[in-house]
Amino acid sequence: MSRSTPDDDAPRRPPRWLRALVLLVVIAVSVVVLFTWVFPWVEELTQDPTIGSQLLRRPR
Amino acid sequence: MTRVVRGVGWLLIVSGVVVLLYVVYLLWFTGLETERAQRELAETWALTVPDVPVAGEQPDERAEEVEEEEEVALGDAFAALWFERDGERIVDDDVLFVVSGATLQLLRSGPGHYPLSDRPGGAGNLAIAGHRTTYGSPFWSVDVLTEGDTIHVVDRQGREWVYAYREQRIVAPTDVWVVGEDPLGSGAPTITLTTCHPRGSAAQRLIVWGELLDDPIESTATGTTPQEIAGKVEG
Repeated sequence: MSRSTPDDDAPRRPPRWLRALVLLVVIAVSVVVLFTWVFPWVEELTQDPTIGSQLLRRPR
Repeated sequence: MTRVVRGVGWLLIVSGVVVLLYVVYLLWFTGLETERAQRELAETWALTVPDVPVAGEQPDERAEEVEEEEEVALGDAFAALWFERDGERIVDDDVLFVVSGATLQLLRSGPGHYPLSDRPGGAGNLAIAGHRTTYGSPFWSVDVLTEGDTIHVVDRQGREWVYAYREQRIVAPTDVWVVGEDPLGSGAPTITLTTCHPRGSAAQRLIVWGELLDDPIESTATGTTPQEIAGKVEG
């Protein structure tokens, strides 16, 4: 009767290349989201010196 | 559980670093973008504006010419702007080139002209927006203007229009009347400058008004003749 080792019981970790790929995708998506939506939104919120632009953005 | 906590910890650290880098970019590096854009505008200005000083022309003659002016494409140099007190330039060390249009994208190049407002020297209201902070902060200290100060605007024909400072007010971002036809109710040709208030926030707007002087004062500040403004690119 064979005894199981601690390594057999542990959940199998995905391969290193897969983890690296997931990390790269997460970073890429984050950068796109930040530069496309988040930063322009923050800039609009904090740096808009114009008058009336909020009226234009407000849904009717 | 430990791995989850560690993951959240890393996420927070990375988020903090990203936010810090963004603030550093906004405060210091956006100015470089504006500086480059202002240099380019100065180059086109030197090619566009006639090399003749015209301060002191009769207002009637100038009013007729204003009607004939061409449309300025969005993003192109619309005017040159500076502020004076007792012959000394104030608010900004440089002559500011105003772009045509006032979207956030265009305002990265410098102060921007509200397209529906009047032209320099026109009978209505000339409205210009500028950043208080970031992108070169052209209107950082526009609040220092007081009675007796003048606002100088040179149009694409090289004509210098001088507005006398009248008043400033803090308003809501939705108070569009400030850039309307006659915001001061005086009937005089007006200039309206809009910028953020307080600094670093767009919660309110600081508005500065001036009224066109009938007899333009020839600028005595250094570096403000049409030739000198255009010659900036050579410096």
